[in-house]
Amino acid sequence: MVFSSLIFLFRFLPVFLLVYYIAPKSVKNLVLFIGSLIFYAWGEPRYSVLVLMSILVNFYATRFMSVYDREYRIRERRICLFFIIFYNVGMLLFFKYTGFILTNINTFAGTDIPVPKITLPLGISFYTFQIMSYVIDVYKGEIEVENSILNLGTYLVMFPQLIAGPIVVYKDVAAALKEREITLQGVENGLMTFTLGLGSKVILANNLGNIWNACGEAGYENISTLFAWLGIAAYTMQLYFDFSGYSLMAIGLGEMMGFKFPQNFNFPYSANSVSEFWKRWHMTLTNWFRNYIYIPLGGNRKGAVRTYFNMFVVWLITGFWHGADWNFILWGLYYFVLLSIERLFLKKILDQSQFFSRIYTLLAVMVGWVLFAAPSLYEAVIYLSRMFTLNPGTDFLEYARNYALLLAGGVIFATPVFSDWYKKHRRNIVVLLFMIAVFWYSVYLLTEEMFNPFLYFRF
Amino acid sequence: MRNIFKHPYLIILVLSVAAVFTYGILLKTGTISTTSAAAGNDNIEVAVAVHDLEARLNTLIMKTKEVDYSAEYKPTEYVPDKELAGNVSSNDADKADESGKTDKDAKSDDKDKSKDNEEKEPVGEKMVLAEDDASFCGNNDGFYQVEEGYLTKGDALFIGDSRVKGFALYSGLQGINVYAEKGYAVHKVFTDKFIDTVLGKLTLEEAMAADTDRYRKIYIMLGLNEMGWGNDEMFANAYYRMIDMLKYYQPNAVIYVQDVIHVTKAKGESAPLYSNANIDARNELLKTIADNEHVVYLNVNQVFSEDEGALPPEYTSDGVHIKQQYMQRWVDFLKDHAVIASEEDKAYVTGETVGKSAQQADNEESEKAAEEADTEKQEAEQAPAETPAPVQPSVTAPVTAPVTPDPVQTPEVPAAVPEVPSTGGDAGWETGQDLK
Repeated sequence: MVFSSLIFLFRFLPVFLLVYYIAPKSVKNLVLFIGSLIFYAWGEPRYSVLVLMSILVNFYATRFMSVYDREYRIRERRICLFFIIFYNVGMLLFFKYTGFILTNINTFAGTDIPVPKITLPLGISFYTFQIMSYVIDVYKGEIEVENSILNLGTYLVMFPQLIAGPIVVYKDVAAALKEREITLQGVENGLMTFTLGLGSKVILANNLGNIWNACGEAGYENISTLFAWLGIAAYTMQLYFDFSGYSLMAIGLGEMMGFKFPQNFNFPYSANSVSEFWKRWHMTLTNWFRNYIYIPLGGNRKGAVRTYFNMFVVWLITGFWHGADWNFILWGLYYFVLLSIERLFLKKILDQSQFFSRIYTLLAVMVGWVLFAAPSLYEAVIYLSRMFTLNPGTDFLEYARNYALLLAGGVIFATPVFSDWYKKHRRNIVVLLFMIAVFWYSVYLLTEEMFNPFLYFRF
Repeated sequence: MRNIFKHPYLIILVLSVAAVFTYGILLKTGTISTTSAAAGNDNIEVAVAVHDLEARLNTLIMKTKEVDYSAEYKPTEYVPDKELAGNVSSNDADKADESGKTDKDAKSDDKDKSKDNEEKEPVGEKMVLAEDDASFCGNNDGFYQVEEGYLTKGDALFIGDSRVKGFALYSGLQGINVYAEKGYAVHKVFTDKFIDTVLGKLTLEEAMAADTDRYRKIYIMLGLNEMGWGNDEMFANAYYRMIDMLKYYQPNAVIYVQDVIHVTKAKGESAPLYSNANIDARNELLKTIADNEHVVYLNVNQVFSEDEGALPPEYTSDGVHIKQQYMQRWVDFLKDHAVIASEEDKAYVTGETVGKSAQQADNEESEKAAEEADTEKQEAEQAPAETPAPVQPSVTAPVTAPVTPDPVQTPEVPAAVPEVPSTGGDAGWETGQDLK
């Protein structure tokens, strides 16, 4: 199930919330746990087993690990940690990367190992990282080991953040798992946040996607320079509204249930350097990589060479985490190169002009998205060549005209302009009407999609 | 409970959802009657209600026209603004003066022209088409090879979906007129206002009416998007209506029905509705339609189906749309399959000319014997005809009663055949062909 579906909005969510609010405090976690499993198993029940196994293994293994004393039984603790991480990473590698690894072995070694078709378990990249945050924090002694398997299970599967983040680390919600307060104000705030996310996804992202898809339909070899730029600009916005919209919906749902999830996006496209972009884009992931990979590797405290090596490792994994293909790896390394250059000398130059540094950041990020979004490395190279060579053509005109309003709206909502106004006038009648319109227009668009299934599948 | 009023958004949202939900329940249980077919099944209540409310709103502001799905075309009373007509399209080549003429003028005009054509046959050897080319040329005397100018001189119109749009953008042809959009389908011809003109957004019908008798060749490629709409009969009816409409407003145009280009094997498997088997069935139907309407049928797939009757993957970016570097095949195919219906276009004929399709030639051979016996009878029938028997009717000739002389033409769709008043004993296609 996804949040932006009618079945979630009008079947699952109302029923779930009703039960959740009526249930006494002591069973709220159980309600959330069972509700989340239903949510997860809706489309693909098979892989629920994997999630449940992850809870069992991590809960008991971590308890076992914490039996050993922190001061005197360091080796035993280490071995335990190693095995838990081996299990989690192994599962992720097996289900996400088997195909990629085998295909490449076949290509490079000339072997002919049959490549099994493994469907990616929903949300495995996210919940694996979340549970590892718990294990590592317990190992480091930053948090107490969780004594209730239901609480840990609820943390891992709770449906708002199970599938696509934000990556909530255990210590952020540990207190709320035991005791949380639900207020009408919180429910309303959550509902408003959810509505903004829904609108981002359904009104902005889904429609902006048409432009990028049109580039694909036309074929990257064919498109004019301006169409290539329009296409990637549209994709840049689409991805942001899609992803940040999903995060907003998750944060809103969490708020409605009494949780406070961390912010995941902070207007990344207004960043004035690539390093700042990554402090504003998918913030929970960046933090996770910093806290659980970069810093344990030594961060920047072990000399310049080691710092760059650590950055290389982090960005290699970041790229690979986003998808099992070469273009994602290249995309990660692209950021390693950019961040290294900024660290070496570019940051000082960028700081001299707010305007040019923003333009530079946006361009760098857009080129990055080409690597990210193209179906293969080969196609990405073709697309980039269309962007940076002169290819006259009028193919962009129709989309530029038809989507002018939406693109302008995208620019406004991607910058803090709207957000500032919204926060200032939260109690204003205009905001109220705007929010109601956003909700019902989103529902209308979803209805259209449902009754015209061919709307999105036509030529 | 009093502080609940401090949360207007929460209240309004919950109440409005509850209200719409109740309305949906009432629709689904049939307490409130609805025109929407969505109610009654397993659909989400709120969605049913929203859909129904939308339909009601549309009827209230008269947005939805009643759509006629019969095969017969009745011209809409659409009087083009005389001053503006002719300027409708941006690259208007000429004929602004002619567009002022009424349709009747145009029609009689055309008849004279078609007579002229008979007298001056273009010169050149006739070549038989490749055996796998199923194209046929209706009432015309065969295909000719032409220069690009035939397509680009400003009087050619291309109608179609996103693939035709791709053709317009990436074929490199300058000066062609294109009315195509993503998702365009034959049932949208009379309702979809997508053509940008100085008169505002127009439907294809309105655009044709505003630019009467401007085009000399009209290339149509439609049929893929309709896979998810209606059935074969509805499709055929809509197609007949469209052709009749085009004939009505563009009486001097040669109408080319292009078959639907195949998709790749992979695309056909991932989207079975658009499989090549379905496309082939649709193309058979298009053949029948073109045959009944006596218009040209172009087997474009001949140059796009090397992969065992599927579009080869390297030709396309997404399994459906043709890449630029392969677009030239399409252009060349059209240049090899031109019908010459006017004196002007003869100038574009290159050295060689291409004859009728092999299939037709075969048919002629085999049918000749049988039909010779019938000739007397037919001639007797044709006696009261207004037009002389050996006429080679132009495409604009009134549609005759449904006769399919070609035995290869498969499946006949009886209900789809237009009921058109037969104007006297107009020479049918088979006789026209026979007497050449």
